[in-house]
Amino acid sequence: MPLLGYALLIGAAAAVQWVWSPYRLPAALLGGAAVLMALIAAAVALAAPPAPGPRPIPDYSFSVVAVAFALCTILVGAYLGLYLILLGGALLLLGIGGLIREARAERRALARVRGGGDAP
Amino acid sequence: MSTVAARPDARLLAAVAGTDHKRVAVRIILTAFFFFIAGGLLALLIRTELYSPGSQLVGQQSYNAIFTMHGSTMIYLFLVPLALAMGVYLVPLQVGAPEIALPRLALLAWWLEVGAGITMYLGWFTKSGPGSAGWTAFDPLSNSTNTPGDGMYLWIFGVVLATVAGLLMAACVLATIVGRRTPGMTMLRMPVFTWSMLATCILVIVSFPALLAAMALLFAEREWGGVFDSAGGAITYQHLFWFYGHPVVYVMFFPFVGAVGEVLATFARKRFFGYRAHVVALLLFTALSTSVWAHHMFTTGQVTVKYFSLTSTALVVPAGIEYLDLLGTLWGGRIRLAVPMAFAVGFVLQFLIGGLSGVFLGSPPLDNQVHNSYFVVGHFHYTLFAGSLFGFYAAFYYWWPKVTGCHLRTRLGWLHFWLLAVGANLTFFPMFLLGYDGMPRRVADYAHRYTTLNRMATAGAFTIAVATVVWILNMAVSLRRRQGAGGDPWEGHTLEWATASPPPRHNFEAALPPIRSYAPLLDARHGEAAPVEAGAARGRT
Repeated sequence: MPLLGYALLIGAAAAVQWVWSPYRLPAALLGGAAVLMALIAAAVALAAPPAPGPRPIPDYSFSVVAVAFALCTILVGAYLGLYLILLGGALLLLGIGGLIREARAERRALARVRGGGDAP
Repeated sequence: MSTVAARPDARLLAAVAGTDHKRVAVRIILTAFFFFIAGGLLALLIRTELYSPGSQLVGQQSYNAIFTMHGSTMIYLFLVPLALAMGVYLVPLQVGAPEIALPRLALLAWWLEVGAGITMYLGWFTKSGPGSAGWTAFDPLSNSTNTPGDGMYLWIFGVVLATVAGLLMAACVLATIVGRRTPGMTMLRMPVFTWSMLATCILVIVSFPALLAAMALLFAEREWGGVFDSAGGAITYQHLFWFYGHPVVYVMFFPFVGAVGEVLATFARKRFFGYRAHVVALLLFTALSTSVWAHHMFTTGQVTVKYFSLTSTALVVPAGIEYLDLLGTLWGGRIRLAVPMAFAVGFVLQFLIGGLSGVFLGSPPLDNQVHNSYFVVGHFHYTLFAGSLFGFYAAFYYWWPKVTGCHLRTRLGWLHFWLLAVGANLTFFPMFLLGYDGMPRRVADYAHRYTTLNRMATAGAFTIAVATVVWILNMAVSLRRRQGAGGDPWEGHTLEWATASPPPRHNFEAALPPIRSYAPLLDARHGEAAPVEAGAARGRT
């Protein structure tokens, strides 16, 4: 409800801008923000409620650190050179691979818990 | 349920890659502190240069770089991450969740924050120096002709990384509020701080992409040109920037209002006053604050002045309601004047000065008079330093025992408060007078008639530096000679006080108290829910 209420309020502000202002960019910015928030509100409303209690997530995740380094390297590489983009790309693949491995481990842990055991 | 994979060297690994939201938040806050010190040292350089007319320490170009990096550090690398990290730490605890939603994104946000700072500061090691076009980087000042060199590119990348980090943190906190609340924690039973974080996250998600677009266009303009060459091109950049730049002020304000609300209620030993009105005002505040950005552009003559002046002035309505709620919370309370309370009251008084001077700037005739002067510098330092930072210190002294399990020293806390109160007002109040008398901002030199007021401001800046040393000393003493705090040293009202200090990995080991209002611990202490929450108790949200 707060998300939708917010979307409606800035949607109204966008409409006012559109009608009375000779400039189009402010109305577009506000309108875009209203649509974005309305979409998020809809997604929240449609999403299934998560199961209560702790979820089987790893205590640490080096894959995330790899992804972070990769993103920084790729971004700086956009100016400093292709070699950094390639290096960052490789690191990103490594990180994504690790995230997939973690996700599979989570699924296995969840299955064990549902099967009556406890996650390792 | 235990977590997946645990190794013997987990402690070391957790320091680098731990996904516990509390550890991640502490790391983001420590990183932000590091940049606070760096930005503060740059501020001391600025104030030393401005101690007397003429050139003291640095040349014009270096001065441009120093004030650019000071502003950029304080906004992108200190206050925004700090405000959001408070939510990363506290929101899961306040809504009774065992962990944050999307913990990996929170970890990613921290590393991107570190990357942003390193990237931005690498500019100092380039031939041209770091970014020097102001924290706003307006075109054409920031294009490759007027600000050539690698440092400006690194500045752009740093801003991009910091912005993405902010978005990720906001996503985690918002997802936690929406999907991880404990049973019984309806929206209208969420604590005031959590509501303020919800408003903050909405603003981040709506406004931060505009800055990413502005930075992408600025990069393209510098690389290939032609992006902002058309008539109104520079205005387009300003619209995109300020669509981020104004809401971000509230990103750096709302969390501290929420924190101050919690502190005032706890130390007045009564329920937060006007909870529902506060929530409605907060949402109205959020929507209005997205609709006022072009008041920064009144003097361009290319915005609808009446509309943006009206919405800017209308902000006083929700702001007034929030202030009334804060004061109403104090009214009739049995007040304990502890250090967190002193900072909270300091926030209320000093942010009022910042807010009222903002009403001046929302009025086009007055804005035309003081635009680009030190009046503006005084205004935003009263809101962000004398206001938000005092709110942060209220939160810091209040939640430090929860985070560390030990108390800070009271005498050092009071010394910190008074030095900071004197220093902040001595630094920033003269800026109003300087600006009103016509001293422009972002200049390394000035006319002789401004000398006295500038010297007062410089003395104030060094007083703030001494206060900061006292604050760091207090933390060091507290951690070296620990005085145990227990789970609930202040008789808090919200769920984070229902667990151990510091909280365990999954936040709560004992069963939570029944949640019948936004102050469940107060209810438990008094054995009943307050009448104001009767509607919420029936499940109305």
